[in-house]
Amino acid sequence: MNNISIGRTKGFLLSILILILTHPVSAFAADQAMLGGGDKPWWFWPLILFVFCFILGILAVMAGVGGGVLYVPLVSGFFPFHIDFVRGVGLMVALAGALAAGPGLLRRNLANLRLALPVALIASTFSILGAMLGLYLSALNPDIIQTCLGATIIGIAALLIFSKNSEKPVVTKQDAIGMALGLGGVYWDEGARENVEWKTHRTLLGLFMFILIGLIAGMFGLGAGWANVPVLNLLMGAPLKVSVATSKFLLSITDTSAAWIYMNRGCVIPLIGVPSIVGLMLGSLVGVKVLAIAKPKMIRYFVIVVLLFAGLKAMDKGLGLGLLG
Amino acid sequence: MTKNKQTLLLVDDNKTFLESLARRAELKGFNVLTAESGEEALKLAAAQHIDIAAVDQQMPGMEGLVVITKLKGINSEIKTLLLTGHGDDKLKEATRALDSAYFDKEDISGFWDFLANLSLGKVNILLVDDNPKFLETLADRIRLRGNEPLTALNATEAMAIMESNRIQLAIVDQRMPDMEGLELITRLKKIDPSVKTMLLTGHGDEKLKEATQALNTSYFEKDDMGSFWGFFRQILNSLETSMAAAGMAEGGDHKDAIKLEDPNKE
Repeated sequence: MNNISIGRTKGFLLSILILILTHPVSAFAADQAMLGGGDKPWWFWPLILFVFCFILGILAVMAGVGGGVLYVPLVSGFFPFHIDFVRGVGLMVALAGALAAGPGLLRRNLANLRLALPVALIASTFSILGAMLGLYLSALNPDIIQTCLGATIIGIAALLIFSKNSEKPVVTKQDAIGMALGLGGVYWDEGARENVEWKTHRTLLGLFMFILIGLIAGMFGLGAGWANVPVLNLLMGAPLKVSVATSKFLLSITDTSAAWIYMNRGCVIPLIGVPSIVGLMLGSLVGVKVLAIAKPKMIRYFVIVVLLFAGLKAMDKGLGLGLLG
Repeated sequence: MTKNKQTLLLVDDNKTFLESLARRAELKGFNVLTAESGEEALKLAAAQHIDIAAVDQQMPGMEGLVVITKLKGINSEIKTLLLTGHGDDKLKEATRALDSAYFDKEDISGFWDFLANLSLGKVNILLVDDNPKFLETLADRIRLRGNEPLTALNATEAMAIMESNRIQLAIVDQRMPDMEGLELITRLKKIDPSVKTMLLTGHGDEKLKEATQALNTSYFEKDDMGSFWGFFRQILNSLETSMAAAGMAEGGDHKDAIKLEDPNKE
């Protein structure tokens, strides 16, 4: 009871903080040019970005939503940066988180290499195509990407609300492809004190889904955890623990391929990238410490609502309706 | 059982060691006999009933293993313990073959290595020793590794704890007033066959102490709280864990994220 109320207060404070932070920023964003921020000194936006990303990192961990997926819509919506730069850095942000988590997840045998590699091959191929397609579309007209991003973000928010992950999905019969690729394993469940054996089914459909996931991840610079986990967990039937860890490891491969395209085109600006990555990493470190003390459920809903709003705003911006300011 | 008046025969060519061991054994309530050579030991054993013999391996004249074999020839009921300075695997195997009850004994260095490599966070450890000071020292070391061990001062207490707890590892002293360590291990294994056990032998055995001290140093070198690099390594390790936990949390698996970050928290 006490924990919940502490969590509520914390969540409330954080939401106030985010509103205060985003409000003037969005006002500036509307008024000012694409980059630079007019009369502001050069360190103004990096500093704001750092603080913003720090809070975003805390929220991402506590809400169970990837930092990369929050970063692109929120920063492209509320900061005066061109969408290409935001997408490029968005990939780097997701990549940094994945690379930092990867060694620990592999060392603890949480991430499954057998599951990750075939999937990574498909997803990273298509993330390269997605990145190229995204930059091509954005060269035609940035509004196309903005609108598609908005629609995707709204879809992601809906997915986050409606999909309920299953800790140990029941797989009665492994399919031929899953068996051929050896997708399966055993882990020790400390809580239940038993060995949990798992295998996959609907593997072909799952692999096809990663074509789509790769394309979207590359095109919008979103991390793909929001899609990886449901596909691995709900569709293919891998346990939640394995799905989440494998998904995180997967990102470090998928996003590397796409990030290369963005880097090559000069879309990764250190002045945006460094404060974002450092802010998000520090934020997620703090988030984990807070999580061990309290895990308020409402933060997840709060973040989903913010995401939904950002999606609507991106669509609004892309379509030039001007309904949301 | 006439446990307090058991006759213990100590055989070692090193007089100082023999005396110090004898003093400790007398304090424990044993009836102690000492011999400085194998021949002397055999003479004593032929003259009177011996319950336990602790024999040094390296002696001029007769080797410890030979002495043990001959002692067993005189009295097949005798319990024997071979004191070896530094772990010689062949010797250990030979000892095991000589007395099957000795099978459970783990080499002390293996024990510390095992402890150092164990992720103690999730394991319930039971420590059994009648010496409260040693028990506390051992418990403290294990606490340093982030585990809260259960302790028992005698075998009866240990079995009571075993029956009401799920224990993964039991570390048992060989010589205790109410029951021998090996017997206790057999009984603990009856309660839970999956329990891992370690037998600690030799009360205040100086050789054992030396070995332990040598191992302590390397053990502390491993964690090295004092030095900068140790500290640095620890920070890196805890960063790696936290980032892995953050990764799990962002993927929506809060349960495992918290378990990673704080293994002691339920």
